[in-house]
Amino acid sequence: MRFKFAVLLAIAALFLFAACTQKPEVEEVVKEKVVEKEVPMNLWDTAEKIRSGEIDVGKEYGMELGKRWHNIHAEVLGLKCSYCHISSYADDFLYQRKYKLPVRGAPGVVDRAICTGCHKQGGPARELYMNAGVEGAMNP
Amino acid sequence: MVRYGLVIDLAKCIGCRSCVAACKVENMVQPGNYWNFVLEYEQGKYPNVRRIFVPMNCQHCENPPCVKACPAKAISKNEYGVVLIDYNKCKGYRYCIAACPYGVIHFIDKEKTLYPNGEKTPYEALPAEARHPLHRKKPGIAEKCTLCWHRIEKALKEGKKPGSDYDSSPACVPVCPAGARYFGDLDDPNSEVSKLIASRRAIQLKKEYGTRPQVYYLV
Repeated sequence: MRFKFAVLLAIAALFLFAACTQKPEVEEVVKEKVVEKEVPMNLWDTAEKIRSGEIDVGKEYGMELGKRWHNIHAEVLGLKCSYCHISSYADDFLYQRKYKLPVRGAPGVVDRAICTGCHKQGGPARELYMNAGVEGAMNP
Repeated sequence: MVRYGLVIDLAKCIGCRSCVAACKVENMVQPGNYWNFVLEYEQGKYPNVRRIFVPMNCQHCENPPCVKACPAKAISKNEYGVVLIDYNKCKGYRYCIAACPYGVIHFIDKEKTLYPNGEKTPYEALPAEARHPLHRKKPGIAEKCTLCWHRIEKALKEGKKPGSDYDSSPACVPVCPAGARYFGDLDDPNSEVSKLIASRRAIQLKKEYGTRPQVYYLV
């Protein structure tokens, strides 16, 4: 009787160990995205020069080419067009990932890790995303 | 401190889009734009497959990137935690649309009507003065879910508790035939939403951006 109990206990412990060590799918999806990238030093200088007006990015706000948005991100920073523009996308392209729930941290077609490189808390550009990229800030 | 929010039970949502239709009608959202929509996902491999519906609307973030991104300072978060766009201040720069990681802000490029011939419905033909300020939309501005602030505001003025009945809840909540949507004060530990969040596995979308959404999903 005692032997049987010990065997059952050992099996239960094994199952418990396996469950604890198994990595959930959610974690894998999220981890690939939240990569803390070092912001190159010259980006801080560039951001400061934009703010001070040393680098002229125009005064007209807007998303159209020739206005501040593209002047900063495309002209000055040289971000690739393909970071934001892809050849074909649905209306909901910002968050959609086939077979992946947005609740599982799908980054969307526009990978915001690019945005958060500068727009995170304490980053060189205007802070938009607080604690972006901080591990533990994710859902379980 | 009151902080209104939504809880959406994904296990109950059947993807019927009643919330989408109710929102469209209530807020006079023009064709092509959606303040509320439903994403669909397939999970698993044949024969063990299932479809999941994820209703999406403005997450009314505690730390909203759209507010910070707007050069015109047209977006603000009110004392009840609702993020609202001031249409008089909005210049249509669309920075908010780019900054929002949820893709729930839409731009009104031109006026469209529900009648296919371009004629306005009686509802659409209402003059701006006859509408709530949040329904005085015009081409060249951004729009998004207001958590039916006009209803909440009216309930508060009448001394009613927002969410206590049909008219004092966001339009998407009482119309849900599956009862998958809940509205209430997230800061009140005795509210239904708080209890659900505490008792079930409730998650926020894209929490890793530090936006701290006020819409929770029960999974």
